[in-house]
Amino acid sequence: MLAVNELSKSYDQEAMSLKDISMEIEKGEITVIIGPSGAGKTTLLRSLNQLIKDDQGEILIDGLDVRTLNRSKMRQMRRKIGMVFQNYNLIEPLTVLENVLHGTLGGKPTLLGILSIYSDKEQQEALALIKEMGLEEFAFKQCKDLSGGQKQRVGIARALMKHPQIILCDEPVASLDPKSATLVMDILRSLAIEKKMTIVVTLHQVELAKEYADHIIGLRAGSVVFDGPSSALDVAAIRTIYD
Amino acid sequence: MNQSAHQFFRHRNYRLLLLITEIVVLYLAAAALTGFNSSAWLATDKGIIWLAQNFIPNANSLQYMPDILAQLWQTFLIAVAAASCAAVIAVVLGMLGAQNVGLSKWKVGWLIRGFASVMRNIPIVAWAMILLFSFKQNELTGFLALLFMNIGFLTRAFLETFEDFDVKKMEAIQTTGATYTTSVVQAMLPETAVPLIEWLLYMIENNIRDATLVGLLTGTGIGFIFDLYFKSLQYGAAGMVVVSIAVLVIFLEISSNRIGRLIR
Repeated sequence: MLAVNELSKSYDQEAMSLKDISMEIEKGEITVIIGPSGAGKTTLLRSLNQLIKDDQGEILIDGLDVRTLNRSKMRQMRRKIGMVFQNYNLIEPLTVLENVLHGTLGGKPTLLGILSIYSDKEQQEALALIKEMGLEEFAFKQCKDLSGGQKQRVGIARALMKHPQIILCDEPVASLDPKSATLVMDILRSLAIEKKMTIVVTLHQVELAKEYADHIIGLRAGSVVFDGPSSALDVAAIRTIYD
Repeated sequence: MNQSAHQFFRHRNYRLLLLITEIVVLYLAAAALTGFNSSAWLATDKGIIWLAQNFIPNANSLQYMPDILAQLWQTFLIAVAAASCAAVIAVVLGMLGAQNVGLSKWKVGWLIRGFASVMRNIPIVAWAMILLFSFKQNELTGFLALLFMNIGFLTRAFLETFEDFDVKKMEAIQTTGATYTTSVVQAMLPETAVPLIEWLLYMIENNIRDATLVGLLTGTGIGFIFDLYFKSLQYGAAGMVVVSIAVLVIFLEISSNRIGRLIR
């Protein structure tokens, strides 16, 4: 589904933030990337949809190298990949419904996008997703009035609007309380199981990673130091990653 | 230590004394050059008393109210129209010129800033007088004078508002595969809507004040009627015009504060 070969990235000449990363991610699995701060988790995740341009290597999605795509091909590729952010990145003055509908903007000509013209079908679908996320009473409320956990669910609904095959989650629960964090992780798990979506999550809590991941990748100083099923992540492996 | 504190304050007092001396010398020099008779200051009170006696509206000036209100309404409409049209143009120019989201090619940012600066820094009276040549004395001239000045002012204000916007907020929309323009419009405009509307309301207020001056030249609106009463020696009525302008501006100020709080 998603393969990375010998990906390297440096922010400046001396410090390499990613060094020769190679990994394979399977369809319908939750892959969790863990590692200490500064290990390159976010850089790696953002390279996958080219929010950060990498220096060398290959990123193959369904066999297509995303690094070589031109602008319009890139936009098509991005429609297959949803993204969820630590700080939600919602447009706070807008309503929940409008933020969820932003997920459809990728498939629209610029003019329709600028004028916020959404079809009936899109509106119905957005409302259905909002209901699925348990937010139906907030559909017409401004996002700035929601709690963190509710905002993150809006963020997930927005990502789902474009029927992605892959969802990238950049520290999705780092700003949430434990209860909301569990709720968000449960939603991600059900997407992987029921909708066969490929989920890639960066986390800094090892416990959550062990509980939810099918596949764990441990990063340390820009290199992969662990790559295996979550059952294989033992104390020794955790020490290699964090100590 | 004490010694140096003492010196510090002595030094500061010298500088203050020097500054005051400089201002006095400048005034005296300017008065001498222009032949200004400083004893005119002594008659200020008489001038103010005369103003108060003649310009304070009396019962007699109330009969002019319907005319004044009609002209005030027209002025208000022109002020709103000019500010709103300018705002539409300024949003587009501001977006193109802002360093964080705009066009980085061809020095567009500098061109737009320069254009806004020129439009804004030509005084409104100069705009009105220039436009009088081509458009003669009518409402359009006043509208255009306000419009040009407003385009300059609002472009600059909007551009700076947009530059305060955190482009990271656009990321989420860009990752849906949306085009750059769509992302800017869908993310930045809602996030900056409140300051934009506040600038627009300020501009309308300001236009009503300026309209008095512009109307005097273009022979329209509230400025015209003020000029008319003034030149026909109906000072009470002219005072009435001044009071109604002040009331309208204060009313607008209060309502824009209300609106500002409502949309936040």
